[in-house]
Amino acid sequence: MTLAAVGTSAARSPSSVGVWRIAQSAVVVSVGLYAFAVAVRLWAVGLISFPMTEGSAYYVAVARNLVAGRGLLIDSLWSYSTPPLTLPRPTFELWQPMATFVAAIPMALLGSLGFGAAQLGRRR
Amino acid sequence: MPLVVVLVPFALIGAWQRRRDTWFAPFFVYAIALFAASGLVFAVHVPFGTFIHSAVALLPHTFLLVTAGVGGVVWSVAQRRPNWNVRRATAVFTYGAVAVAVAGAALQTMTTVSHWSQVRGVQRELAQSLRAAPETDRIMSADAGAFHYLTGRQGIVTPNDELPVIEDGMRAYDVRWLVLEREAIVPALAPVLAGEMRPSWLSQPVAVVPRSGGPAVATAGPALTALDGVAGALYAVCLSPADTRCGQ
Repeated sequence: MTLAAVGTSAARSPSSVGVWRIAQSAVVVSVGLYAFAVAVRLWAVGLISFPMTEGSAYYVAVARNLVAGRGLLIDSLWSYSTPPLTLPRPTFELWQPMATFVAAIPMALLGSLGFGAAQLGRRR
Repeated sequence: MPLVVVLVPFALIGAWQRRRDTWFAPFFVYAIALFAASGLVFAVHVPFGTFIHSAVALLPHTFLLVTAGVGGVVWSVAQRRPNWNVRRATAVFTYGAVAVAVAGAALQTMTTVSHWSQVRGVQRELAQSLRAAPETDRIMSADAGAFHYLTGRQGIVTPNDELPVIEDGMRAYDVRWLVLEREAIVPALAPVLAGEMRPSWLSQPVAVVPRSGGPAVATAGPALTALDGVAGALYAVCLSPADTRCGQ
């Protein structure tokens, strides 16, 4: 059953018409807000040419090491409260892996260790 | 920022209106738990952390509560102003709240990005001064991740402690360079950046970046007497008597 058919059948009772309109409105608003948010984020990505925060620098550094074949290592010590206190050291004692892997995938696909690749293919 | 400055009263009114709404029950439970834990437990041993990151999860429901609160306020005012069209006024004021949030977010984003760019500009200039240093040299800085990204060299964060502890940290990791930035400096090293004192294991500034911006200035000569105008500086760390870089 297509959406149009659903709309036609739903139009049989006044109450279902109201529900269908609300549903349509909710879908339009949700998709519209999502598209707007994506557009804003893409614009914001364009403003950023380097990892600006400690956390983002961490994710990019680990992704670089992963794609370069060094494994899940980090070459900077940002806290003395999480052993082992060695350099390089194992990762993800605080910051979690997802952002690193999200950055590593386009890096590997594009064959680039640059920050632009980490930003899902935006090359500098 | 707009949420904090302008929209919080509406969020509180909306929260009161929706206090029995089961869809908001998980939000209320999480919010109460977070505020209680942050205020009563974490504040004791984590004075600068944890709240903001955890509070982000509250934002979507909070903005929904703002719209509910705006509707409630408009309805309340409309009871005293019969000429108001409640539906139209609710739409106008709700869109107004959204506009405030969007404008505030855009302004805050631009301000934050500008500040970050300024900080990273100083770091980039100081990192340029390390181009000739061996790849294996380690750096102590306030943002070890940033300097690893910019220089490719390993590094450790500056401990927020007294000078002897900082020196111990340098010895433990065989640090060869120290970066000081005015934007993020531990109290023990602030006099060093100000040019008021210099430990024996530290060189004169190898390079400084002025607060007004621009490239790093090499300072192989005598000590700078006034570093008030300095945004950041790079120093050699000499932990061995054989290291002559701190001799001047």
